[in-house]
Amino acid sequence: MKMTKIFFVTLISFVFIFCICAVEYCPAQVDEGKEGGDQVYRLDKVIIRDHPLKDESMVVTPDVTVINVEKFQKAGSVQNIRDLLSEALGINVLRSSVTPSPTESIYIRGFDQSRFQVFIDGRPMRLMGRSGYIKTDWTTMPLDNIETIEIIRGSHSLLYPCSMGGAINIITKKGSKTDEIKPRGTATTEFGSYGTQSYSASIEGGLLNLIGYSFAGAHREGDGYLRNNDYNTGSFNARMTLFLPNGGTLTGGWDYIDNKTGYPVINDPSRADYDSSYPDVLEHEVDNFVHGPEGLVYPGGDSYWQKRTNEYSMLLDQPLGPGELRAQVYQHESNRNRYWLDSKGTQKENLDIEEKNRGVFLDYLDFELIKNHAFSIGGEYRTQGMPENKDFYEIMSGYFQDVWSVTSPLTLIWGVRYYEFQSDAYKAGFPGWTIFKSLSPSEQKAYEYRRKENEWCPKARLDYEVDPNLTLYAAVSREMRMP
Amino acid sequence: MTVRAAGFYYDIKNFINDNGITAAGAVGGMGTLGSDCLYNIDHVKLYGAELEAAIRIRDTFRATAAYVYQEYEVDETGFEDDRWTYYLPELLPKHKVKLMARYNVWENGWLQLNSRYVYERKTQSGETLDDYITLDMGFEQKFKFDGIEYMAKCFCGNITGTDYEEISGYKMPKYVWGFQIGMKF
Repeated sequence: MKMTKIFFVTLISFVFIFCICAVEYCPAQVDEGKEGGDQVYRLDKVIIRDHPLKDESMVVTPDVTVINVEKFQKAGSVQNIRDLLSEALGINVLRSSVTPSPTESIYIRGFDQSRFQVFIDGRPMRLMGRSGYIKTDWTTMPLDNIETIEIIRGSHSLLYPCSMGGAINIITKKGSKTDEIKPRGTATTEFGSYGTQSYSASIEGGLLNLIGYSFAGAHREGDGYLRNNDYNTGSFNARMTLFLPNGGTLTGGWDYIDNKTGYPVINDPSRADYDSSYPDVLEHEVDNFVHGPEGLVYPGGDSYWQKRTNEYSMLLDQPLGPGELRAQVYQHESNRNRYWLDSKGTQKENLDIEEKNRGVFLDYLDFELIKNHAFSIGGEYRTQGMPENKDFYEIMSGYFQDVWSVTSPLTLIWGVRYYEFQSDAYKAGFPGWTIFKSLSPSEQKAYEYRRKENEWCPKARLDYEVDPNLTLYAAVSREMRMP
Repeated sequence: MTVRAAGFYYDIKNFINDNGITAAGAVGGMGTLGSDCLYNIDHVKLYGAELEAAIRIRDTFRATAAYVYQEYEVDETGFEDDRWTYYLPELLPKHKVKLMARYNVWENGWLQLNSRYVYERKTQSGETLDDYITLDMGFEQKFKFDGIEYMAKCFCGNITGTDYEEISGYKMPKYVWGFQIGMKF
């Protein structure tokens, strides 16, 4: 507790500053982010061509933290998104070990993975969560082909749907518009404790001022710190961009990840199968954040998780009239197997857990029809399910946003997003899966129905720029969460 | 030096809580009554404050410090159980401080330091996990040869050998070292 007292002395100083600052003190680094070019860096759903942060590794503005992945440095390994988020304000990363785990928990402002969303180039990475309620798989997000990460805290952005706690937008490298044949490339290798090995390479460039490309591949493995917690991951990421005549781009993307991770097993000194060369892991002491076998896996037999993921996307980014058009279609396919030995020594398996998620979004951003008003409108439609039932979940939403420059220092951002959500569901009195599966199709049908929900979510935010280095803001918003 | 401060307050109706412990089909299966895996909390309030400071002294020293305070209030549901902490935000620290610093020792040579203070937290079984401080150190050197940029980096995580757990039941390792080399062309 002595440590706590020291901490609180420091804390009192911070709180004093905080009270004086009232709501928000905006850093001068924002201006650094804007310098060196005429284009103002838009902090929402941005697709970057020339990195706005230049040599800065991280810039914090009132509502978003922007991380320049290439420049980000810390005293440790930086291989996946977890390694970056663990250093960002307002984010809690809870790890069970040094091994990247599909089930580790990341929180924004106390909200878990089901209440904030991760996007790649604006496309949601939210999973259906079948068999385990794993809504975000962090091991499918290596950093090898990533340029920037934006962390938006709070639910105030209209551009990111279903983001109650906030949103994390990952922006990938897409190649460059150049006639320079020689590409840029990187190659990195890493070795470390517990058998850690990492090999990665990337190449990026362009052809004839017409095509841009960016490819990255990596292999990572390690024995893990805990018993049976080894991992072996291979990934390949590709982006091909066609530069269109009127300043637009059309980018096709493919992300492939193959991951095998051993479940850490119970390693109890009181058991005959105890291995003293590994740390103790005791029954009934392990916290479990998902509905999987974690914390309930025992030595012997096969105990691991294996998953193959393919993500496909096609992104259009096109200046059009007074605004900018953004559209994307995407598809996620994954196949997962789980094996574990339970407390009775029975080998369990859960094979071919497939997910198929698809979607499309269309935005028209920042068009000024009335002086001092920048409007944006857009919508999305997505389904989450499995190959035999692709629209188990259906999510539709549309929004309108107005950025109103009321006076020189005062800006009002307001708008509304409408959601409609549908899912397969079962009526009260559902007899449980074992009995249900033994029923005839017509008897099963009697329990099934299509659940529908909708909601209007208005949001408003007022920014007051006292001087270029000080901005005060207040925001109020309504948001809903869908599975 | 720059500073950013923010306060946040969430008032949530019908918070569907997933206790992360019992199986969805423990009683009757998904969608049935009686399972305490997913249940409704009428009212949840989440609130807190964030404070972040960044300092840059010429091109030789850069540091950021971040402090987060977060708290919550929940209505009673009747699903509370002495054996388990059902509300997952209770497993997160009320206070957390992160420090990240870099010092330019010589040309293209950077000494890196990361430190973290995490306040005590609850476990799912209602125990208390101790607060802890960890310190990571690293050094990175870049150099150019024949038009190619090379990088070498070494680091050691938890260099003070602190005993701590981020998730209950899993002890985190001490002295996690690594060595990285890379090239950019």
